Amino acid sequence: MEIEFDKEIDALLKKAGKSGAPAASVFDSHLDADEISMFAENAAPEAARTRMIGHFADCDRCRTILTNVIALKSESPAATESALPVAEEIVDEGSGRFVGWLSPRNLAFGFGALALMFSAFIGIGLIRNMSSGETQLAQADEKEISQPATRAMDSAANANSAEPAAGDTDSENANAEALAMDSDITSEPPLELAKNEAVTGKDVARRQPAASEGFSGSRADIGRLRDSKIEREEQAPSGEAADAAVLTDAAPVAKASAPAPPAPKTDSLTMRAGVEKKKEDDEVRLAANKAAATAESPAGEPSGSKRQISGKTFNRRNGVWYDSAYRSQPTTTVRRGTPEYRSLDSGVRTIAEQLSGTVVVLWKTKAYKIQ
Amino acid sequence: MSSIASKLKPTIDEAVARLISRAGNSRGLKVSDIALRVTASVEKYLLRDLPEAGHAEVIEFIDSLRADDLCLIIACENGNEEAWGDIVLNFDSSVKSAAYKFAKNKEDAEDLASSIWAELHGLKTDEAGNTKGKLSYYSGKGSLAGWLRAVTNQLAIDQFRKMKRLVQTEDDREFEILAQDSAGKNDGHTVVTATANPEEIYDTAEAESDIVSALHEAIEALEAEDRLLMKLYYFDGLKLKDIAATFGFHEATASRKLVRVQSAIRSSVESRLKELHGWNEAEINRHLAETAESLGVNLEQMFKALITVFFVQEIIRSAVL
Repeated sequence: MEIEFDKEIDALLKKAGKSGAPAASVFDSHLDADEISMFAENAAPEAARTRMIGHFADCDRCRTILTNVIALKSESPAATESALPVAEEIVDEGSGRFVGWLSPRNLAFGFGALALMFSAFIGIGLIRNMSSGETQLAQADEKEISQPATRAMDSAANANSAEPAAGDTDSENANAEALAMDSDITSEPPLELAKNEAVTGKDVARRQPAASEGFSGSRADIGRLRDSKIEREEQAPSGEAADAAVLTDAAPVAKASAPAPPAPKTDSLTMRAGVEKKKEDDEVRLAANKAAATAESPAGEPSGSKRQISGKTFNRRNGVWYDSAYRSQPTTTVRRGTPEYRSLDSGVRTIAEQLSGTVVVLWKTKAYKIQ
Repeated sequence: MSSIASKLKPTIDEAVARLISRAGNSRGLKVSDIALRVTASVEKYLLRDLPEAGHAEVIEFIDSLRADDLCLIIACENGNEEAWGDIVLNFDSSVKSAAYKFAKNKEDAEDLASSIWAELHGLKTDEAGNTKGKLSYYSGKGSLAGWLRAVTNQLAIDQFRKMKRLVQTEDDREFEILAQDSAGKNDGHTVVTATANPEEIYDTAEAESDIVSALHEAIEALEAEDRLLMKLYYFDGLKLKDIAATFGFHEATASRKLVRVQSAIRSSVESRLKELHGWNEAEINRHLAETAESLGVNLEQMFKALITVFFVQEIIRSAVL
């Protein structure tokens, strides 16, 4: 603590202290150790204290002893100040240790750590639930895809079995019937869709071997179906075929996502997943229809448009953005919003988020088709 | 026992009984074992300075005594070996730490501590066969550890002074010679007045002497508590924190008191210089500043001389021993 001293008087007094105090009074008797020690501890009775102060003020010897006692007292720990230090120290150490554990500060840290751990457990649980829910939804989605796909293949097979002209008509009718089952498709003009479905029917008919080979709606079959579709797209990614491919993608998906009559053997989990999936597929269908509309009428990005994103150039052809570096390599289809999409490199996702619709991007020697 | 104390005997006995019950370990002592010691303390510290003290003051005094420490000491006086073992076990560190202050090495400190324990135990015995040592002077008002430190200091200072009278006379003389040589070589020149004018040198020396004597008189004129406070701080080098604890007030209070003491000293010095030497205020301020600064320079030279003397002493002792 800084004190504003009178520097001159301070220097003079220090010198006086070093050179020796003025000739101290000669005392016949001095204070004994008991008086000095009790004064040092401020334990002297008031009346005796006044007397002792008078003596200390003028007796160098007693004041020197007092100074030494005060200095030693300040240096020594408090535990040595009692006649019963051993037992008290043991008790103090134990209680002090426990008191230390239960101090407010330690309690605060403990509760904070518990709160963090609890939050972490909750967060992990939520993340796991979300992942498992999406997995279940994806599984339910694939199951539902397999059932309508089976119906689509059946209808295509029926359409294919007829005479060409009649087959077309029949395929139109079949597809129209299938479409009629989709009560949610209300925005598209049925005639145009039917027309496209005619094309779709031909395309589907070309896929007849898949059905004839025993298409059972399993995941493997769905994968083969998609791969064959992708191959066709890659081979003829132009005009109406591409549009048809899109529609082919969209329509079966739309049909697959259509709220089909509840299967008799569907369990509660699948029903719940189906309801959730219905909502998601509605959005996808609308997006697909929008993409199709965009491809047909260049109200949005017209074909031939170019975009530069992340140092890559993308060309729009038939409603699909193609990476200029793409050379018809096999692609991996990933849908936005799926766990697989989220596991993609951030660069791919950035591109997919900046471009609407289907995007074919070459990323680190691997080609992705983001839908 | 004085007549006053005899009137207070029932009160004292009752308070002593309460003291024994307060003790964590009363060592098997009874009221009759302790009452005499407590009565002597009451006479010494209460009735001597406050003869009109009543029952309440006596009870308050006895209730403030350290029960365990007092029982331990009285048990030691009664020859209780277990009590002696406890006191040495628990308080040997306090005695040794006090001894280290005076001893140059660990061996000397332990020797001093051993001699102190012997003094405490005492070589004399009374009619009852109990040893009479310095333990009988402990009243129980302060802590036993503090009392042991004070006893150690007293005995160490007494021993040191005996040794000093026998051994160190020549060294002191040598110190004086060196100090005089240092002062002589300085020729009275100071940092402030660097001229060789003899009149100025004489005036400066006279002014310093006048100021120092006025300072001493001002110190003597202080109240006892202020004087003690000032001496503990400036002469004995105690910290304000420790001084405040001794007096029983806050450190900030101690600092304010010290500043007030400085102001009182300055006022007293100025008035004395004006009265005795006819100095005006400008002369007073100038001479005070010059004296304070010159004393600082001289102190540095004195300090160098002191270090030289210290090394010379060590060399001589090592050669002799």
